[in-house]
Amino acid sequence: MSTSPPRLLAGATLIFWGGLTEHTMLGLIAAIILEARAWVGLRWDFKRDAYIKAWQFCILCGAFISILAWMNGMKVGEIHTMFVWAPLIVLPLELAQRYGNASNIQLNTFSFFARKKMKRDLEQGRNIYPRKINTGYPYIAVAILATAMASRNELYHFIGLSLVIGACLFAYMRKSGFRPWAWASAFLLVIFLSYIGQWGMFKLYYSYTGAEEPAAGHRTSANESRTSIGRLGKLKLSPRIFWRMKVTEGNTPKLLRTATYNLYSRARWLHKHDIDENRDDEDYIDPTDIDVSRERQITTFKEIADLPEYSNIDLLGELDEGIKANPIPLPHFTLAIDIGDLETEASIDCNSLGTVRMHNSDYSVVEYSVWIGKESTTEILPTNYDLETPAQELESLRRICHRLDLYNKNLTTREKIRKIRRFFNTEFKYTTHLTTAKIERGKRQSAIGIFLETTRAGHCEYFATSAALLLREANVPARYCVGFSVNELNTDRDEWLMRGTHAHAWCRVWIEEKNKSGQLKGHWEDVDLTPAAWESIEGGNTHLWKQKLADWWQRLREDFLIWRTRETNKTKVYIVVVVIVTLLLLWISWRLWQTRQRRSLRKNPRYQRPNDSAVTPLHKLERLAAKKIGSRTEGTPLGEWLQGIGKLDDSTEHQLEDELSRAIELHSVIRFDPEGSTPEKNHELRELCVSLRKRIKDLPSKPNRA
Amino acid sequence: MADIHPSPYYLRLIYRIYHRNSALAHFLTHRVRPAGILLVLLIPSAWILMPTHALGPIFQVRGLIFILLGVSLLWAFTRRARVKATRELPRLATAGEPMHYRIKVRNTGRKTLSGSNLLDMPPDNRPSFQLFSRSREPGEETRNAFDRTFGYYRWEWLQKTLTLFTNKPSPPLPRLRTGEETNLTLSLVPKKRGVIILKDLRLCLPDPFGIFQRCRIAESDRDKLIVLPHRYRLPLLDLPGSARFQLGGEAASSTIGQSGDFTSVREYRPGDPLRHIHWKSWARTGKPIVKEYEDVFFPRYGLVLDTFAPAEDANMFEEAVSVAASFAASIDTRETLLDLMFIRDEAFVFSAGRGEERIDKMLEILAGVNCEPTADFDALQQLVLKYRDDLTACICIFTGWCEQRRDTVTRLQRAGMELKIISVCSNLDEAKKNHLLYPSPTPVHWLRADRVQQDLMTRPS
Repeated sequence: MSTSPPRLLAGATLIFWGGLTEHTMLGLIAAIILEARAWVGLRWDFKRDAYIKAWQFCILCGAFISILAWMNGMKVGEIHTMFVWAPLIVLPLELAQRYGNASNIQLNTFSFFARKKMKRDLEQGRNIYPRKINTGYPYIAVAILATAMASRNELYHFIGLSLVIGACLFAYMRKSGFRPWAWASAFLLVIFLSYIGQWGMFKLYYSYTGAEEPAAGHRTSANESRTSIGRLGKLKLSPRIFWRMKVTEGNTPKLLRTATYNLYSRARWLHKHDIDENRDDEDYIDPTDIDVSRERQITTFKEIADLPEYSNIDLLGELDEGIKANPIPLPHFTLAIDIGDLETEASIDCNSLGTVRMHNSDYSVVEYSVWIGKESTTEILPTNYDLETPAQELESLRRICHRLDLYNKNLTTREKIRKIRRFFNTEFKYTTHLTTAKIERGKRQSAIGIFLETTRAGHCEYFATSAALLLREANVPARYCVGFSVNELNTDRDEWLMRGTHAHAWCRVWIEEKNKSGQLKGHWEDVDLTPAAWESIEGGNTHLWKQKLADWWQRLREDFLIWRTRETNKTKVYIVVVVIVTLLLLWISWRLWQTRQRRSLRKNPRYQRPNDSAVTPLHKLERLAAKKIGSRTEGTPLGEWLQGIGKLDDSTEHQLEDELSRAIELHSVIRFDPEGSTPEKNHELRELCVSLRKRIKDLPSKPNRA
Repeated sequence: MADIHPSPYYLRLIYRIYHRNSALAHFLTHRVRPAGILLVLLIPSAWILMPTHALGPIFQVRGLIFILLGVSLLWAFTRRARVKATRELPRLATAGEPMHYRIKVRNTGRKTLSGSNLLDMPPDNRPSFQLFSRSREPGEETRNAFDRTFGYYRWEWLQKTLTLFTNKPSPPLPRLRTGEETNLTLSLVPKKRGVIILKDLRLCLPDPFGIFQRCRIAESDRDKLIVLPHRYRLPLLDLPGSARFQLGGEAASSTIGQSGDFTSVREYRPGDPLRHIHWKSWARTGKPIVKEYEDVFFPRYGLVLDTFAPAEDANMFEEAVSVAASFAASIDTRETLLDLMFIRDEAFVFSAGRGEERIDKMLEILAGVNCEPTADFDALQQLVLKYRDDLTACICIFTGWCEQRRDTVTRLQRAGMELKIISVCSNLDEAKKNHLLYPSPTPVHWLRADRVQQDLMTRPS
């Protein structure tokens, strides 16, 4: 691409980028700086090295923005999301291209190795012909992709994208054999087909991935858990540390519950609820805040008269940025939560099943303290949902219940649980590698049945789901929980580590027991019926140097992010960043100011005809002729300037040149010799000008010289 | 650095790969326009960037790119047109200098033609297997083992050296109805001296967006263009030698009549022209007396070109030819005679200047001169010595320096010839080292192949 885009096109694209990515101001400022080239006379005579430095500065900007993003909690694996900032990152190079005198820059500017090779070739006296490009159109392409990365509005995006692409294609072809009708019809066809095409891509994507909403993936949200039940092959669990826990007082909880669900349907566990006036549409309530001191505010979901001064456990970990409201792991019978410095940015709420979620945290890494009580303060009593079993699984469940004698009314809940545990421990095998024949789509409901009666091998999701459904069939209210098993202690730092391999699923069962006074009282209790061997199988080898290094790096990053979250440190970080950026920008500005050049915006000022001079029909051709041969400069006689038109005529008859010569002759007579001017001559000149207008219109434009 | 000798089988394999790859690249570069390249590059970018929260816009971008490419490809593929073109070429062109020529185009198709342009395709510049396997790129030994093993840079270098000219498509043709014709100006830059045959004129038919284009063969004649060597600007020539009784003089003049200056009178000798008789002196003395004139002799220079350059020094040889052409074009042939001498299969001499052939002819001969595979310096010495008595001085242009070249210079000097020695070299230090080993009896003007113009303007050290 050696041609530059027309004026305002790149600026409009930047405004489009800013508008759709919620960086309107930045987009506008960048567009003004970029397009100001046409209005200011500042230019720089950049040499090859200057473009290389501009490119290196772009890389530096990219690295700087990445570091800032990393400081805000971005993971290394998500580096591609930084592409949203690409129009600003590569802006220095585009500015160098626009404000520099060179129309094109060498392609090897972008490659260290290509530059090195060219240098070596030059040293050895070889002839080199580096390719050159104008970065104008590639820059627009980058801005278009960046807009697509973060655009929030699909309709506006499609309209804007079509307009920008249309403008680019129009500007590109305008001077090289433009065919208006063909162009317009092809463009309309492209827009129509691409609209259908993107719809088709959506359909294909959903059909292929099985997703029901964009990129739902396999995430666990507070309202839905997509299990791996029915999936074949090896279930891969990440050895990465998800949460770290320090126990400050009391016993160490064995399980940390992230979310609870009460309805099973086709390999998914959902949270269903009845409308409750005290709760919002999604069954969530906001907490009650207790002001412990001026600096500290503690969150509870039930009014508590007397809260101990110190919390029981401190948890630190990373939230999933893909989910707006993240469920956070909490121990059994959580009494109160202190989110510390996060409270200005984040908020928490809790649903009727006891799932606590954190909202709008600006920081993906969070730290909070938890007080553990003696009873649940957040869960409601059993409802009908806690006894529902899916019809598809009913037959298998009934057969197993009969076999285990779970319908026996004399059995207590604990006895039923014991029977199921024995059944699982003796007849089932824990595995994350499922090799049963693939279950066809739409028949996934039989997965639990197959697990219970045929394969008898599965992972914790199978055991927890089966146990919950069996207990429900045996008339015991049960819920499904996901979270982490606490079993790896880092003795050096005295903290418990919860890795991906420790992710676990279990049941929460309503157990009714008589108290000391003989009254029947129920409570929710964690029941984990997965064979105990799972911990040793999933433990993995965390002692490998690679894992140790990854853990060290993760700890360092998380600790830094937590440090940065604190208000006092935040100010320090901002000051340092602002000082560095300001100094750098000042230095660059100073260097640029020293090497600036002033260029008259109009190299050759356009000729201005005096008001009192005679006007001939030839003057009226001036505008049309200017389109073909460029504007007439000051001091150039009209006749001499119009001779340029004759040079564009390739015909052998030279009619244009003949007519032009006669017209110029008549024009000179009328203009400068009033006595020689007659109505006949005026009429002849008018006729000639009509003919010339037609001929000039058909002429090709004079090629631009770079 | 150890020399690498790949097996013939391996060489043939990579030759085939490069050969086909070049053909494909040639095909694509003439059919995919810059906008198409940018769009194709956007495909992987739009694929890699797959965020979880902006699926719709990403699909829109992908959809638009694919549809644009698809529609453009189909549109370009279905375009039809037929034209007949006639070139109006100048007789001569110069290597490295842009050359403009006109083409008369007539629409011979059944439909109106618009949005198209013309392109003269350069001839195939892919080297033969023999050339590829036997050639060595200049400085190839300094490349790393990988480059030497795969030889891609050699291929690239050979392609560059075999490229006869570069050009760009013409400006867009105006709208041409059936049977209408127009004139266009095209330009090309000859890359090397020699003969260019223009026989593949293409009509480029782009799609409405200018992403792809179809290249239809345009009906045209086979035209020939002679490309003269590139000429350098020379400083004021300070050529050695003095007037001698060389053949030529007024006898070699193309004009008829007396010329020269009167010096004395003497007695008549049989054979003296009657018009030289000084009648007054005859009357006074009674004996026939004739006037004696000083005859005018023109300086006659020899331009000796060393054609014994190996294939890898083709670049140096080209520069040597350019320097020879520069001398041929700069010497005032109204007052001097110039004999071009070199070995082309056998000894070759061509004289131009006063009363002889025009200097253009000498440049045309230089346009066609090639390297000699076997270095026969004896033949060259004998050729020059044969004309020893006629030459005022001799300009010898060598490619590099070696013992044989030193011997040639020594022998010519011993024969009493005035010499100006010029040597074109790729590496000045190396050439000077050779010169120290085989010192020339006369000073040598060194010209670096990449800075010939600069070195020509400086005096020899």
